[in-house]
Amino acid sequence: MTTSSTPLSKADDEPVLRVTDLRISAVGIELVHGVDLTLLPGERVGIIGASGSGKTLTCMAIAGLLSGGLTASGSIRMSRVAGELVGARESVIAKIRGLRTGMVFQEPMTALNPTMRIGAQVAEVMWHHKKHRRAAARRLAVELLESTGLPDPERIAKAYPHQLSGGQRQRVVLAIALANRPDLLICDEPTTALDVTVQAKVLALINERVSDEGAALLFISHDLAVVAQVCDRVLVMYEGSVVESGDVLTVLTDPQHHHTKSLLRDTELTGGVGA
Amino acid sequence: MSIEVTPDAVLIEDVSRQFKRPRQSLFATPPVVDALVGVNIRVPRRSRFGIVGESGSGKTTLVRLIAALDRPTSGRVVIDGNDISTLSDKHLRPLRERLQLVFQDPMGSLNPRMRIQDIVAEPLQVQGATNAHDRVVEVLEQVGMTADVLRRYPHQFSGGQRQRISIARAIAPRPAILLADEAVSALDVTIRAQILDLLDELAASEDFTMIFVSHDLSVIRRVCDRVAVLHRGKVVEQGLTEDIYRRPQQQYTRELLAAVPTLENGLAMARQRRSASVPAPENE
Repeated sequence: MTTSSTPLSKADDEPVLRVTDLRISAVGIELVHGVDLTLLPGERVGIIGASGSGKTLTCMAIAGLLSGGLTASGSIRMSRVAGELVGARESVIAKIRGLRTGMVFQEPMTALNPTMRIGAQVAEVMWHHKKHRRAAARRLAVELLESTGLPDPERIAKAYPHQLSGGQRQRVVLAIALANRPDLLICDEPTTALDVTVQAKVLALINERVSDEGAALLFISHDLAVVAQVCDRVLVMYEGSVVESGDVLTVLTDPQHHHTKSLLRDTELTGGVGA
Repeated sequence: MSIEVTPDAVLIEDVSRQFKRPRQSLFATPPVVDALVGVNIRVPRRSRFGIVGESGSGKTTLVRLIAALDRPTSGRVVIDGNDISTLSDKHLRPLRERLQLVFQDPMGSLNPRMRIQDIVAEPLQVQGATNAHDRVVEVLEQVGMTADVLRRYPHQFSGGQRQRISIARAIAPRPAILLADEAVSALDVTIRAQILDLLDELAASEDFTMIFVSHDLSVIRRVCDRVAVLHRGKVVEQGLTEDIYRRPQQQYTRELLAAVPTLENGLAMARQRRSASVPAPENE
């Protein structure tokens, strides 16, 4: 019950992602203290924790997007990639990012280029990685937009980001992230900027599209209720360390670490006024 | 101090607000968007009143009307017995002194070039207070901050601390009405719980009417005793929060409640996925 997915049960189940002893420091101060994480194909893992716990840093390191001044050590390996990704050259990571990994960030407005039409942005990621020629990529872009449940995809493809609502923009970002059928989808607080009704729809879409594509999912959120909706396994981070991990049902129904308990308490705004 | 003849802090009577969109053709009349349609809301004095609805429901338009930052196309907005929908800016000044706002994004609402002491003192000085310092220290303490923050700048604080500073500034002039527009929506769950506790305490100890706007009914339930549900510019349901939370009468309210992610349905979904995936290997 506790371990639903027994790792390495099948020989061909090579992990999509294997992170070992990942440490991230800024100007000599260590912020993330040795994270270990293995994702099997199609597995859905959540990272939860309060702001400042290091969950976003961890996922930025995995995506090779750590900003200047931050240094990572340890090991990040992806299946079918020969080298070590920690400290790899940008040219190496650029061939993986967008092709083998897709990313969805919290704020869809800053993730999209405000001066480019939606269709061109979705097509760009496909022709950039030489998956398709430009004309074919443009046609496929409309199909991808349709697959994310956007109404009138032809019209949306011609629109600019500012003409769409927040929920529509996040659907576009998801279409871009999944355009090259990546093995790993990383979502960093993808629904935090959306209101609850739109959030419910976007979560259902992520669930559906990740199953369709068979991608592994790394899902970061501070909201345990949201994580439970999409993840099978969960890691709890607190002050830069993983303090608890395991099957989502076990961790959220029988938490061991005090931080997990307090996150659970804060998620459930139990009681009404004065209660 | 005010005359106790009007029991309601805010009375919204048959208020509509239309916005004209840009003309799309030379020959057609410009399209009109109905942001609010025939809204009636009564906020009793010293109550904690929630307004809930999804984006585009008209929440922000309603907030702007109550704060007299905008005027209704038709209908009346009555604050403390005064109809403010027809008043000139000059006559609105006494109202503005009695109503304070807390916004969603505390970084956007605190001037990055002002020290905390000046930010919190500003509404007091505008109202003519000569020695605001003591009151500034007092309200900062009330929101759980110590006097050593006085000379610091907004960027030196976290999101939750900035929201505490926004709340301190709002309560400093002892407002009659505190209007919070999505005040916890940009915060993570831990900080959200702390800020809601703080608002809860303040509403109990201070003498103001709180109007709390959110898209999340579970947040409203935590701090408000009454709620109005807004959908496409209309109030579809209003009443006691617990009644509406437990026995929603309208289909839209039920949908809004179902959309709130709770641990319970999250775990139910996880179990469902489990049972859907577990039998598969056994059948192989």
